[in-house]
Amino acid sequence: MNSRNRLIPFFVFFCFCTFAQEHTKFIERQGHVSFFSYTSVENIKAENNQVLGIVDLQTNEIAVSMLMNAFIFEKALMREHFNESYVESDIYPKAIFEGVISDFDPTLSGEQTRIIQGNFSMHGVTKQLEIKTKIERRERTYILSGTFETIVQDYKIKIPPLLAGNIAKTISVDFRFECLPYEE
Amino acid sequence: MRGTKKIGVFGKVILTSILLVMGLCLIWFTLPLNSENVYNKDPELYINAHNLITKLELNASESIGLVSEKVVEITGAIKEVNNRNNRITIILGTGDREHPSIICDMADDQRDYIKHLSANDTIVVKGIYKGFLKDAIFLNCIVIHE
Repeated sequence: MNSRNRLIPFFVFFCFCTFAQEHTKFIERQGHVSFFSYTSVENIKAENNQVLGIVDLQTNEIAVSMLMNAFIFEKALMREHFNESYVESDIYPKAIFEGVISDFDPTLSGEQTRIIQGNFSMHGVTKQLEIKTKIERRERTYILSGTFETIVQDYKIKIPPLLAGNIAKTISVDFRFECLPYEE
Repeated sequence: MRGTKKIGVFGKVILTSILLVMGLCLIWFTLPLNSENVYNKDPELYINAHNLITKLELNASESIGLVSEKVVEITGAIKEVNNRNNRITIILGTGDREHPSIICDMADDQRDYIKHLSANDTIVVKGIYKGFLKDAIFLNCIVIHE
């Protein structure tokens, strides 16, 4: 290895350090959150593709905000029930998560699996959550993804007895955020 | 005869119930997939991208009647067209600043209309307003004019 080649890793490290110092906040404006409800009667899936997520690499804090009425369902009736009867999106338009990524080192390249601890607020109820999250650094982007389960009853969502069989008691939630440097 | 008549009435009730359930099932399974169709809805507000964002930033959206679920027609310049999350999204810029902008999640059948659109083209889109986070969010958008 000649001396020029030896300098390349230092140059890459220097560039990353400069980049990381310049940008401590990263943002995703089109984050993806989907949920699934599996029952023997029917499966319900919905997705929201305009979820906002901001990660602060100085404090390892993360904040997520989504509009409840921006979930897309397969059927109109599912969307109506969800917004009008269950999450009451006119009264509680947003769901918010605020948390901290434990033991996260943003300078590490490649993949890390970390726990995000925080509070999730939806339908006027706030619950503590611990979410196992895969964090991948790709050049200027941090990609956060994962799956967790949540209990419908925890958020005081009332389901009429007639429809109780159609909606699972535990909902599976998937998420994916590709966070780019935040130019405030 | 009397017994047959009783069974007949009972049978009619059962038959009606079965038909009712079948009818409901038919409605349920044939409901349109694209649940919020804006094609046949007239816009309740006509506005350009810059004015829309200005009102939202001043928390004055209600003064122009911009509330969630309203059908709005927006005129603006394309900042970006992307395919994130397997959705077609047009992002309209507001001219002078990078952000905030208007995120238009396009209706599924808009793919062909969007093929020849590119950044800086001025277009008119119609969509359902959902709310404002760091950007204004519209779903089920369709291109009205290019």
